[in-house]
Amino acid sequence: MSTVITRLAPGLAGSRPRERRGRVAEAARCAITLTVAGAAGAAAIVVAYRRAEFGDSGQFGWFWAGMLLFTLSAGYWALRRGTSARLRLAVLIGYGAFTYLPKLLRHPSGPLYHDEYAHWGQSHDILVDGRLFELNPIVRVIGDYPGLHACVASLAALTGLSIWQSALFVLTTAHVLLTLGVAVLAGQLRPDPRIAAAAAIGYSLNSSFLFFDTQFGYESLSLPIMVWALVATLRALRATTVPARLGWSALTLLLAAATTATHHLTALWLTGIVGLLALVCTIHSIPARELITPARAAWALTSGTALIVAAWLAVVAPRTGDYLDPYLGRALNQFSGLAGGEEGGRELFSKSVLPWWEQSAAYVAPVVALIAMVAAVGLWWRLRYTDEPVARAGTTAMLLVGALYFPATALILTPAGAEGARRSWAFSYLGLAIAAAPVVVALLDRVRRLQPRLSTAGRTAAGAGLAGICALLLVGNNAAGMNPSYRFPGPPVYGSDTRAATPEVLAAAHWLLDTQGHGIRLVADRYSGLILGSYGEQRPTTGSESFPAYDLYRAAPGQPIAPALLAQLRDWRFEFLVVDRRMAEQVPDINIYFETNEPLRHDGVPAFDRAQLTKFDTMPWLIKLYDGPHLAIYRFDFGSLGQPVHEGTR
Amino acid sequence: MMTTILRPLVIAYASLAVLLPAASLPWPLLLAACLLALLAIGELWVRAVIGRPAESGVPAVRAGLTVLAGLLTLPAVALLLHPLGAAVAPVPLIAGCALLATVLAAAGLLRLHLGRPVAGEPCDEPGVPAQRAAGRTADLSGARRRATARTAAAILLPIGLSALVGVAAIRTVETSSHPVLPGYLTVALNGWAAGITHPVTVPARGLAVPVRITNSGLPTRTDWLRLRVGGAVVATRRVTMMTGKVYALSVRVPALPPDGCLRPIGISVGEASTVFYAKAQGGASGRARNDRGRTAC
Repeated sequence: MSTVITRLAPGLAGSRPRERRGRVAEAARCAITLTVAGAAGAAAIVVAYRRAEFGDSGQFGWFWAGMLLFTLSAGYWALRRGTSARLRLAVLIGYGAFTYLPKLLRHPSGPLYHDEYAHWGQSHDILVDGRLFELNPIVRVIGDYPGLHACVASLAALTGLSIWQSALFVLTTAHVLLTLGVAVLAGQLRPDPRIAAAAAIGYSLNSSFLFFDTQFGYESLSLPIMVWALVATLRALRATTVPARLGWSALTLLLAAATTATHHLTALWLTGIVGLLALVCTIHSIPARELITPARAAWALTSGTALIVAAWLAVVAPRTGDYLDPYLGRALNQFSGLAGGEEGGRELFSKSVLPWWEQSAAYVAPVVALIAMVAAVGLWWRLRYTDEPVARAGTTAMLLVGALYFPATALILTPAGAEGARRSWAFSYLGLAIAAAPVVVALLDRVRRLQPRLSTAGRTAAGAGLAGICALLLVGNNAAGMNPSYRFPGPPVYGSDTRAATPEVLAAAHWLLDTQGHGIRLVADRYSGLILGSYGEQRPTTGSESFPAYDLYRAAPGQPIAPALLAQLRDWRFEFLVVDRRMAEQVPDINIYFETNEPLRHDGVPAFDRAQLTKFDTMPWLIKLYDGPHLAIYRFDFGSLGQPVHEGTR
Repeated sequence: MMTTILRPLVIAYASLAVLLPAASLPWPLLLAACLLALLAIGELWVRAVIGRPAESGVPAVRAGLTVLAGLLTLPAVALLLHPLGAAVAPVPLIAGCALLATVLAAAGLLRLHLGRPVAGEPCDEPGVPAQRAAGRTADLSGARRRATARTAAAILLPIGLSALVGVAAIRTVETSSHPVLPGYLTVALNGWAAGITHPVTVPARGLAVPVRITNSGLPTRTDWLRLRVGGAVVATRRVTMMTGKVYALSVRVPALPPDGCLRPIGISVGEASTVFYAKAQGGASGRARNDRGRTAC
């Protein structure tokens, strides 16, 4: 392994003309191969989406055929020993761009996922009003993190592109930067371009890479910034002169500030990882005295980053704690309850439409990750006397970050922890991929050394085995991490974030905007609220524990509405109530009517009856302005509360 | 050495000038100018903060940091404009970017001035052990130019090919047929009636209420339009609604008894309906009590 670590980076040294011609021919072969594979892969993904849209079977097979066609080709060129450094760079850029396609082709013309509506609306408001830090009606806290929205709105303002087009440009760039950033980060620990490429491709197998971290959401921009901040941190630790250390430290803190202004969780993860690096450097500095200065630098950067994050949370975004706390607190409670033998856990893949092989891959993927982790620990132990000190400390930190993947996998069993667990994988997989990448290259080298003794079939089996593991992780992680309705199109489904934009709801949103104007406060369910808050440019609320707006719907006919709730609605100037009568007919696809904490039944039976939702027709303080097959819009008239109504014409 | 700072500064100024709203240029030109300006400012960020970074592993450090810094320039300027009360709009953004470029260029020049060149390299970061050896071979300016050109090709070629494949795939998705989505019939209060906020007063001659009926995606159908007062049907009429048509109708509400009571007025077509509340003009208070002590309404 030591030969791998100290080998010169190919392509950075000068080359002879014949060698150069060979490199050009190699680059041409690579470009042709990957362009053909990319075109065929994209075509297969389009076929998969069309089959899903028309309700035909086979979308899963077509999708993965398209994805694996390109991923495995790119993996071959990226990990091939003879590939030059620049060609490897080109392959990784192409890989980053191609892996943005599944999300892009899912709905190229506008927002689709729950959070996308919120971020799109926020950016749109900045473009129209020019103001940052405005409260968002769909996701309360995102207004306090304007990094992505300011970037997209500014680009739109300067170029005349739409918000969506600007967002696609920013997000594609960010996705490619994330792929490259992981490679560069791995390169800071071991300057072998093959290890760097293996880390980038390994990281891309995580459950968020294809769909979640490509959406119009703040994570999609903050993750690449965090990865590059870690690159700058390692460079600061490695620097041998004071100006260089100061420069890279300044860059780390600037990128930490950018991360903090973009996304809360990423900022916390960045602080944690830099802190872990500082701790590991300190511990390693006991036997390796040359790590004393890097350890001091790491602690200074940890303090700086923590200070930036704390200041932002305290001064700019004090609501963040209240926003995040219920998720973590309830998840831990549910997990301790499960450990104590209580019921209430999640049944994985319950009523799932995923094929058996995707579900099986989802169960096997963590086991494969565990084997990779054990192998990475083994290699780390084997190299304990030969590794360069900063590389050793960095690898230790990455192993510890990667180890967090496994407890998070257990949290997936709790309803409240599942979302957080999925989101954490994008971070913990960074450690896992970087720590395991040298193992992959070491195994490839071992197979190469054994080649003379191996038959052709044996060599092919070794290559196929690695490709198979790669495919298994990609399929399994995505099956575990993303709901099928987010991954594939299909007919409108009640209670699905991605299939909520039916023509009826869009028409209602446009009617409200055209006749009543924008920025109106209204009460709505989660799915109507998404459309009304984005395309409709209104300010919907779905309720919360302290503002139980859903109690309006829960009240039985004839039962009075709580005066405190009515006072809140009146004092906060709510003007409209939106009622989707499907709440009395169907159970939402994702089993949420309003928000995750709602006090409603979730046992497979609709939580409302029809009378609860049509009672508004007879309340004199609600004027029914609009009605369709499912959706009705009422205006609040609090002045008529308690007014008697005469039934009959006489 | 100063050209490494002045060249991106000039490019940034020139590109930002193209972006001024007064130029009224088409978006492809504006996009190109914006990207050029951001790349130039990104390069200035890198030069000002860390100097010329050495590569390690995959040679993406300089290019990656330049693109990232350029991209983050926009939110950085927007955030700096916020406390000054300036809106996120073209002119403040352009002015902010120009000012930032100037400051970064000054910082870069200062860094050059203070730094001690090592083997013709302006204060380069030594990096990890393997790349130090690799970096020594690329000290000639001609060789470095060729290396830069090759790196640029390695970056631009995959971007171009990916864009080609991606645009073709998007065009296919957008131009191909899609399943027909379910249609709907809606009824809404229209015109002045869409603005009803309180109970309406109906004069003695009655009241004309505008309504809007929309048939989108449903086959042509004929339904009863019904007017209900106090829950009882007082008028009906058959209306035919053709596919994809919007109808503006007027429904006459008759005079109400002058008892001051609120009555629900319902207008429905098929299953869809609107409801508002009304009372007669000049009627007695709805709170009046009858002889048995109950409210009159």
